Amino acid sequence: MTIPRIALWLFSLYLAVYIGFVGISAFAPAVMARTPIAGLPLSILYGVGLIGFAFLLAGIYLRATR
Amino acid sequence: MIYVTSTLAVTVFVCFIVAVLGLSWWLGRRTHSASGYFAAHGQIPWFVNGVAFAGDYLSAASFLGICGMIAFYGYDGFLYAIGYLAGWIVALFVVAEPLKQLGRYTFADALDARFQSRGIKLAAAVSTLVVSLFYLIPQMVGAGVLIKPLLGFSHATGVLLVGVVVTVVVVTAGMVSTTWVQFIKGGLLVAFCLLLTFMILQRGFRVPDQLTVTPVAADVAMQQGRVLTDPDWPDDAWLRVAQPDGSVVTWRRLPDGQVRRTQVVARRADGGVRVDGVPQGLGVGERDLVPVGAVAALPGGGRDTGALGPLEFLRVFNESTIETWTSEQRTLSSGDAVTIYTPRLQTGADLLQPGASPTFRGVRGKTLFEKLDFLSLMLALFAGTASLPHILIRYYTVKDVAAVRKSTVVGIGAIGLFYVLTLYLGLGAMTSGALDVTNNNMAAPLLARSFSDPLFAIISAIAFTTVLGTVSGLILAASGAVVHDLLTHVLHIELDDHEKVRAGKWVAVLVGVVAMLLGIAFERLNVSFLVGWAFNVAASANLPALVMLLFWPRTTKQGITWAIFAGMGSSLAWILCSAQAFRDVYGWSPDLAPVPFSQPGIVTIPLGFLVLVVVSLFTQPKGRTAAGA
Repeated sequence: MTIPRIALWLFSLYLAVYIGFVGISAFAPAVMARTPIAGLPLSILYGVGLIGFAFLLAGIYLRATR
Repeated sequence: MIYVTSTLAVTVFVCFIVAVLGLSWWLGRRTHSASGYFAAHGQIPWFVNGVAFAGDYLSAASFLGICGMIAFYGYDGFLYAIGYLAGWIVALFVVAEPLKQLGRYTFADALDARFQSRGIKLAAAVSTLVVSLFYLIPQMVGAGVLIKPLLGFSHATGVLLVGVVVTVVVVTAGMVSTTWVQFIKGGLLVAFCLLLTFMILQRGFRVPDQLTVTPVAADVAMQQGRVLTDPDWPDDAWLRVAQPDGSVVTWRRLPDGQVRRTQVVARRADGGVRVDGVPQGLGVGERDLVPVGAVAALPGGGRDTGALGPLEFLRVFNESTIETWTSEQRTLSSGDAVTIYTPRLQTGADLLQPGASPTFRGVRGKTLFEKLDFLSLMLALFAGTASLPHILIRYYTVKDVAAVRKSTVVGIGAIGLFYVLTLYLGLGAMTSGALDVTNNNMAAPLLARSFSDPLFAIISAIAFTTVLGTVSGLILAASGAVVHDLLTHVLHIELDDHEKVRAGKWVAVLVGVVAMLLGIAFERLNVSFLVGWAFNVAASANLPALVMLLFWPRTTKQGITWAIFAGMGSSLAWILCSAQAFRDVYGWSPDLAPVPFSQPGIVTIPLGFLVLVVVSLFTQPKGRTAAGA
C-alpha cells in the first residue's frame, strides 16, 4: 500500500499553511485584522486562500500522477 | 417567529420529493447483487462521484448551520467551512488511495486487510455505527427545524417525513440511487447558491430608515404608555412600558440615560409562548417577533451602495457598522423562562475576524488555555473529514485509483466553491433584515425569501434534499457495517448475496427508525454542536488506526483494535462530560462539568495514537514479522 511521494510533499505544504492560519488567528490576531490587498482583511484572504489552495494542490496532484 | 405556509413552497417541495423517489425507484430496478447494492457495481463515473461527494458532504450543518452562524456571528461560521474543506486534503493525500487499494465495501475491510482479525472488524464496525448515528442526529434535527416553519408541521412530523422518505430510497435501491440523489443535490445546491450570491451582490447594502438599535430618550419611551414595575425587572436596568394595544415593550437602560428596545420571548410553565407580553401570533392582540439584520452605517455615510462586485462587497462590509442581536436567558419568579433579544452595533471589521461569537470568543483571550477550544476544533475538523465512514464508503464506488483522484478533486472544487459562496450568503443574510432572531438555522432560506417567494420555495426543497442525501449515505454506511462486518465477519453468519441485500435493507429500516427517534428526542440541541461531536469521535477513533497502519510497520492488530476503542471511548466520554453537554443535553449547570474545554480532539486524537503504539509494542509477534516488516 503506497502513497506517492508527491502526495506527502503536497500534504505537508498544505499542513504548514493551515497551521499558519490557525497560529496567526490564535496568537497574532492583529495580523489577521490588517488589510493588505484591496481593503480586504487578511482573515478573509487567508481563509478563502486556503480553500483555493486546496483545489490548486489537488489539481497539481492530478497532473503529476497522470 | 411565525412562518406563513406558502402553497407554492408545498407544491415545489412535493414535486421534488416525487421526482427524487421516482428516480430512485427507476434506478433501483437494476440493482440485484450485494456489490451493486453496497458499492454501486464500482461503475459510477468519476465526475458524478465527485459531485456526489459534494452532495453527500454538504449536509444540513454545512448549508443551514454555517450560513446561519455567519449570519449571526460573522467569521466564526466561516471557520467551520475552512476546517471542513481542509479535511479533504487529508482524505486525498493520505487516505483515499490506500483505502481503495485495500478493501471492497467498508472502512473495516481496509483496516483489516492484513490481519483478518475479528477484533478489528468489531472495533471498526462499532466505530462506523457510532459515528454514523451521531452524524445522523443533527441531520434529523435539522430536518425538523426546516419542516416546522416551512410547512407548519411539528418537529416530530418533519423528522418522520425525512426518515420515511430516506428509508424508502435506501431500501429500494441502495448506493446507486443515493449516489444519483447526491449528484443532483450537489449540483443544485451549488447552482442555486451561485444565483443567490449574484442577487446579493446586485442588491448591495442599504441602510434602513429606522434602526432598532438606535437609542431613545427614556422620557419618550415612558410616554408611549403606562410604566410597569416588577421585581423581576429591576428599575436600574430595565424600563417596561405597557402599550395601548396590550403588549409590553421592554427597554434596556443605557449608561447615558437613554434606553434601547428589546424583544422578549417568554415560555410559560403551561407551554404557552408570549412575545412582548402578549400571545405569539399574527392576529389582533397578538405579536410576533420582528425580523432583524441590518447595516447601521456605510463607509462614507451613504445609504445605498447599489450593485457591488464580490471584492467590493467584502471591503464595504469590513468598513461598515452592522446591527446585530444578542440573546440572554433568565427565569422569572413566576417560573417563566424568558429570552431577551437586544440589538447592538458591531463593526464589520470585528465581525470578519475570528472570535466574534460566544463559542470561539476564547481565541481572543490572553492565555493559551482559552484558545485550546479553538485549536482543538480546527484539529478535529481537519482530521475528521477523512475519518467519516459515510465519506470513506464512497471511495468504493469508483473503478480504480485514478478515478478516486479525479472524483476527489472534483469534490473539492465543488465543495470549496460552495463554501466561498456561504460567506456571501451569510453576510447577505446578516444585512437582509429578514432574520428570525430565535433561530439561526433558517437564515439561508429566509434570505432567499427576502428576494422572492419562488426562490424561497426552491431553496426549501433543496435544503430538504440536502438532508435526504446525507441521511441516506449515513444509513447505507451503517447498514454496510452491520451486514458486512458484524454479521458476516464477526458473528460468522453466512449469507449469500441475495440474503445480504435483504439483510441490508432490514438494517437500513432499523437504523432509520433509531435515527428518527433520536432526532425527535434531541430537538433542542444545537446542530453544529452535534456535527462537531461526530467529527471529534471519527477523528479520534479512525484516524490513528488508518495512519499508523500506513506508516508504521510494527502496528499490530491488537494495537489497532485498542486504538479505535480508546479513541472512540475517550472522545465520547469527554463530550458527555463537557460544559456544553451539561447545559444543553442534561439541563444541569455547566459549572459542574469535569472537563476543561468542549472539544476533545487535541487530547483524544493523540491518545489514540499513543494507545496504538503502546499496545502494538507490547503485542509484537515473537519470531515472526509484524505487519509490513
